[in-house]
Amino acid sequence: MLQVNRNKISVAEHERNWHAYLRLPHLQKPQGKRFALCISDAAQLISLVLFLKEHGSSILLMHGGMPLEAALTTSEGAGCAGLIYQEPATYFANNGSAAVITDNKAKIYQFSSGTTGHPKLIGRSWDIIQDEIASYNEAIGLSAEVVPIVLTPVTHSYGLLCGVLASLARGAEPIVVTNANPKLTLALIRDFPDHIVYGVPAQLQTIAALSHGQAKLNKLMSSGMPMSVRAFEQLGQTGSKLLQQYGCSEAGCISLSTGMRSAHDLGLPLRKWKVSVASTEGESLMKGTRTPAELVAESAELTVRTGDLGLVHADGTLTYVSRLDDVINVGGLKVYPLEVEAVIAAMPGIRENVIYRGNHPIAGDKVRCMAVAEEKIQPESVREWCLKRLPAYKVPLEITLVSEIPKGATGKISRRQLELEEAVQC
Amino acid sequence: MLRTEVKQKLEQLLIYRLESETVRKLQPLEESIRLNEDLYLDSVMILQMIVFIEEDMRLFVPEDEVDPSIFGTVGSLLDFIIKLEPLDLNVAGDLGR
Repeated sequence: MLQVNRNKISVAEHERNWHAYLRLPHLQKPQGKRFALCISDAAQLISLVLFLKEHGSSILLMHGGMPLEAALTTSEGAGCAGLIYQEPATYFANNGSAAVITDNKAKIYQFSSGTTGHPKLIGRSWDIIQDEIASYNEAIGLSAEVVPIVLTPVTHSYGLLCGVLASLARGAEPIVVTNANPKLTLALIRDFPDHIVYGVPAQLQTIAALSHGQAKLNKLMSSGMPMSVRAFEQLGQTGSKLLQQYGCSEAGCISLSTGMRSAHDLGLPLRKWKVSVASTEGESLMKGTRTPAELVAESAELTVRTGDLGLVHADGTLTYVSRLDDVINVGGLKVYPLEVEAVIAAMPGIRENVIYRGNHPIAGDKVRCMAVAEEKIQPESVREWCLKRLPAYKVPLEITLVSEIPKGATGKISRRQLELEEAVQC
Repeated sequence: MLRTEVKQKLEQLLIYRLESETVRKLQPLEESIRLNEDLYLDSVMILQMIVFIEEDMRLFVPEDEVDPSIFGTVGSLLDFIIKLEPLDLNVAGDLGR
């Protein structure tokens, strides 16, 4: 049915998992309930997601590395009946501090926030997801024989829905790689020559470099973050077919390129989406010049402002230009400045702080922090404080303690300004 | 190779190949330093680091799952590296697959 690293999980084993779940007290009457899942074991997570889907439960997905306290707070904030933490049997019921919400239509939930406002709970019903999977499979045009090798976390939509569920839906048997050893991925690529590797650009580049002369790469699927021109060239040299998909939490997968023509080629929108650029006053006066603007995706159910600057071409394909807001993209995982700022602001002795984006040569973006403290606080203590409350990827890479955070003419802190100043210094 | 030599090579790799400012500032690294929490190496970076260990240190990394606890600290990573065999001895074995 699927494989995790070198472990095959048969349909029989998957069914045994289900029988075990049915005996757990908290999973007796799961219909309509929301369950928060914080599980690092990919096989367990997938089995549990499919079980809960089948039984009409909603799921809140979270990163497997979330500290327990943070996972509990997030679970309660989403109106979940409870949190399943690492093991299916380890359950923390909602302690009543927040309302428990039931769903008529079961959904998959994620928290997403922006640079303004509070974290938003985004839910997509299983019906909508099934529909997305169907149009995704139609667009990607892969037969069941092509083996997906999924390098990205199955706790997020790209890995779970596109890497695993869409593969299962078309009869393919995906391999989920959770082990850090790239030599294992290389061995799997060699063992399954008719493969498609799902990753973020940095992972694909690493595997491409490693496979040089050792294994032939068949198809590569990139998503999660923009691909650099250099990465595109390096991957192009492998002779493999390059695919790229584009989406966001609210919409799921929006578009797909089955043969990338450039680093920022996002391909054609899936059947359900109509994508346009938000009209602005600054329409270019020169004929033929296209001004990048925010990509807006519309379907029968909703309109999504992606927060990405892009272009829509005459042939209907999309191109990515840049991010509009201050979201930090750490190797495909999104970090929202407001969320991290709130965590640091709660630390005793911190008067003011700002989280902004820096650049890292391999990971892409990095999380930076500038803070003003009342007392003599060391950056290490800020880090330790964050590690107890956030998954490691959200913890600032660089923490600078200052006597004052630079502000603009209006007296406001501008993350963009801080970012530009750092860029100029490098 | 002596443990100290391996540690130095590892530090060079982290500074020059992974471009880690953190390692540059903290070197010489204490063995108790944690790769993820203290050096900010996430899974994408660790993936790349293993490739550099093979390429730069000319050591053969087996094509199996590695115990994730290896990437806990500098010390546990050194324990792992010291047990690896030289790459060149294994090249023939690889091609024979």
